[in-house]
Amino acid sequence: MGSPACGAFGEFGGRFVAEALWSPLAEVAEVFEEALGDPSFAARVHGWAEQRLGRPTPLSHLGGLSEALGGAQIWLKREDLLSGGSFCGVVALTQALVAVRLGRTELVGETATGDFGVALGQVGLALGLKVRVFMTRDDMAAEPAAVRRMEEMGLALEPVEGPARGRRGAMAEALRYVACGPERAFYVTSSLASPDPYPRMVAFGAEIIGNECARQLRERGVSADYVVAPVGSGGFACGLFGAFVQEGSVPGVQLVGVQSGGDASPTKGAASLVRGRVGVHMGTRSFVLQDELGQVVTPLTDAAGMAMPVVGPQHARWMRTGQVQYVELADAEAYAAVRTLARSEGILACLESGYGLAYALRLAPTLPEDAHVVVGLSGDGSRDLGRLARARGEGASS
Amino acid sequence: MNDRLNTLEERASARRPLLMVALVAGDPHLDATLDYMGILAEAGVDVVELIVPFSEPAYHGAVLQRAMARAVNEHLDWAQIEEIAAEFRRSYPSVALVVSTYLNRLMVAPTGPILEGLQSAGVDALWIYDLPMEEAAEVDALSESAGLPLVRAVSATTSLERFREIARRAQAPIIWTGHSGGELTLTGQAFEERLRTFGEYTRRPIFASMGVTTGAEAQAVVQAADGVLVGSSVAWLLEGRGPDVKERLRRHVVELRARVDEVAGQG
Repeated sequence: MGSPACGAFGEFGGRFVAEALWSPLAEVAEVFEEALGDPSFAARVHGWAEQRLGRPTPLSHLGGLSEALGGAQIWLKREDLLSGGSFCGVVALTQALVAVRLGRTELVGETATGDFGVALGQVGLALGLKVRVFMTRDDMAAEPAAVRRMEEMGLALEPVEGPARGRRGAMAEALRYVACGPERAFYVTSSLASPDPYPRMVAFGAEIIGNECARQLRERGVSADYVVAPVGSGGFACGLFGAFVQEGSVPGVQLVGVQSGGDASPTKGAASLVRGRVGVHMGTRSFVLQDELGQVVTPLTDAAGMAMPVVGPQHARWMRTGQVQYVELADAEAYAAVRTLARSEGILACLESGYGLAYALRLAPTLPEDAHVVVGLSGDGSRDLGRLARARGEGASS
Repeated sequence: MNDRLNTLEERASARRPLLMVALVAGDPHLDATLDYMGILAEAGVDVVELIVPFSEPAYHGAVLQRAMARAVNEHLDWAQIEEIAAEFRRSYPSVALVVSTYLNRLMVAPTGPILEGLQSAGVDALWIYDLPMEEAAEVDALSESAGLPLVRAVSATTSLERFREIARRAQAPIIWTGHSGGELTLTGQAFEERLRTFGEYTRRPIFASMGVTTGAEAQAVVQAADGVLVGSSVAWLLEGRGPDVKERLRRHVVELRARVDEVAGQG
């Protein structure tokens, strides 16, 4: 299989879209590439990330939990401490600044957990742009706090009728809206699994996370043995791994992406890299959860942020090259890991982060005390309190 | 180019408006599809578009999305599509047949043999909705090898320079995808002017897909385009079902045919 013509990551990526979207995306790609050549653009991204989003986030050493587990030292990259409660702001920021360069006046996006909608509001309003967020009714019912927050921010919130939770229905409606007013509206994706140039734009912003983390480790004189992150569509993990993945940049580090295995049934989870096959979905060639006829399978997982049947093309390439190891863990393990972290360290992580945490909790006791495991914590878990309570009621965790 | 595609070009050159009608294979079940294709052929369509359903039809409006959701439950594979095409071709040797789908459905097995199978079954062209020209190099080569040309799409966002390259590559009808979710993005005079300009750079007939539901709308479209593609109104009609659905389908297509034919020879 050859490389896609646009935005290729090895044999993955590309811009597989209907003709009506080709030229608008080509224009975005051109402006993004111009921005990459303009030092003031990167400076602006970093300036806004610091001034409005509250970066850098801390890298916390979990001394108590590490000691209790009796193995490696566990570190957390703390995206939960950002003002929006998640890493999403930095993903929205790059795209919003490209929209400004294009002269667009309205940001249009979709959200499943509500985190990205809030991030879009934070960034867009700060830049003087209108913000419109599409969200399925099921997701709105499941995330009342985020919906209230978006309402208070005055965002145009568009409910989407759709049979399945997740971003796909909302994404289709958002794209349709933008197609009707491309001269003013700019589509902002929350997903790394998107047509070119979106995976490149998402990575550009998200890599701030990994660069911060690598610098913080150096400042403390710590050499990471493992860096672990949850992978749904993979934007957060792409950002965290970015600083470590280049050969020779941080020698000896093993990168691990953890996907949701749902209820542990072999055909149901969201582990596109473990159980998927190469296909084209969401405008990109990557690993896709699908049946033998090429019909996309709807992932079933309690973590809405992990419920993606396709993963960003960067991860597909890293899977192929072996630069990153990808595994799946069941929802029950993620719940248990979130609870363990809360009880041992007083930190409430979102359920998505629970998959990476769960892997680290398994791994750390097998390693010596002078080994170091960094876990990416993608966001705060306040929105998951109800799910945690229900899971406990159902006996999903101890 | 085969005789059926040549005939379409000749009709377009003679200003005889063309009618293409789309059906979702397997909606609501496979047994009905061939019957419905026959009704379209006997009511006088020039081209039948047989949509192979995909679970994620991002570029279709709500009606066709629902139709595809129903049809996905039929679990159609490519061998069944070939059988339908071959059976249709035996009964209707002169009506052109376009098969359309999303790229992922062609990636479940080596794509070359799928295209060869469709061509052997009498399919005249293949339309892959999410395969733009730039990303089509591999499929272009397979399509040429199989003798199954690709339908190319254009839209309101297609520049003239881009259109000329699309037209240069086109070996089958070109389709103007003029709406997104039922919202027309270019209307009236601007649409006519664009179609006229594009038409100067290709001999291939240009069909316009504009969310047409009535004979009057179809007639308006073929004032500017060589042909009209009607899809969602048929899926909507089939969705309603009822004991006389076949007769209502026949009447709908006969009405479309009659209204577009009123434009014959004009322009």
